[in-house]
Amino acid sequence: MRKGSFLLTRPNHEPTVNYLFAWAEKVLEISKKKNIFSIDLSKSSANKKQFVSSVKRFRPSFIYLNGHGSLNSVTGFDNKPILSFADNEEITNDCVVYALSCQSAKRLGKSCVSRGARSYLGYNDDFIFVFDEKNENNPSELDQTASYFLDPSNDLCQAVLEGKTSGEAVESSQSAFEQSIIKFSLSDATAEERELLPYLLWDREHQVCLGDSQAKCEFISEEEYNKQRKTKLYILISVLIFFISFIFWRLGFTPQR
Amino acid sequence: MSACKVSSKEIRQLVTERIKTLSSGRKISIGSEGSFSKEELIDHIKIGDKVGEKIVKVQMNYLRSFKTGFLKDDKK
Repeated sequence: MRKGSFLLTRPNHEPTVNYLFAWAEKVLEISKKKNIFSIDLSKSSANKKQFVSSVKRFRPSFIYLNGHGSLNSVTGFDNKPILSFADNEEITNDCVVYALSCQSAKRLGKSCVSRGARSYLGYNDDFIFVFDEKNENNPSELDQTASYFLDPSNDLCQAVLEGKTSGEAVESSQSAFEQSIIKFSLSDATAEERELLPYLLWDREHQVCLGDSQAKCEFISEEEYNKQRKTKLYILISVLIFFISFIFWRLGFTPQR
Repeated sequence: MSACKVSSKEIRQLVTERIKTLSSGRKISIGSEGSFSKEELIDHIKIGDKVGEKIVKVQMNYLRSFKTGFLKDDKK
């Protein structure tokens, strides 16, 4: 199994994605604590050009996309697509992908898997969440209502970062949804808790794991990445020196006619 | 005993009544469609547009799950 980096995209141009942005920050903290080499394409950096070049350069083993989605794409900053059906799915080759976005698992996810993604975790219909209006312009972990929806998503990411299989990661997220569903179904649940049930149930039912459920990731640290880069550079310089020496040797020793 | 068929108008009315009980100060985010207060959702249900249809679908999925069971163990 190849070791790779962790790459996430998290735009922040409007209220819904601002929530995803804030919760993805927690995932980033987890990856940094684990000393995983993490590439954070945040805010306006969450665009197709930077996404494609970063995947090619840093070869992530886990790609985590936050943004609006549809059957055909997952978007980045300003709702511009960064991963699209019949366009650049091959970029996910040999990666585990998780898209916290609407519907993308229905067509785009399947296409990514058929073009080499090891697994594609996501939602085959809209991802719906409830939040407290007072936090709309400043989403944070203080929004307990949103956390019932976004914490299970973070559990999935944490499981992948801990080296669990894609199937186990989805299972961990499903369990988190299930815990809230059970808690809010009990007779002592408040009306505020009970009204969340239709949406929690919806998200749990539409979360899927496509591709190899046994796929798991191994990660490199930033030090390992830099070491690999240096080694590649040394090899390149050595090859270059060899060729230059060879050319000089040929010039010097080839008999002239 | 003949089965009672519920019209789509009655379903919309049922969902509207359920949405009315949503706590004030909460909003529901439905992907790229946006975020909606309960008053806005009720308007969308009344119009019967994409957002209205989606919320009806989500609520009916929940209500129907009482028959099939909504815990994972119920489905095994």
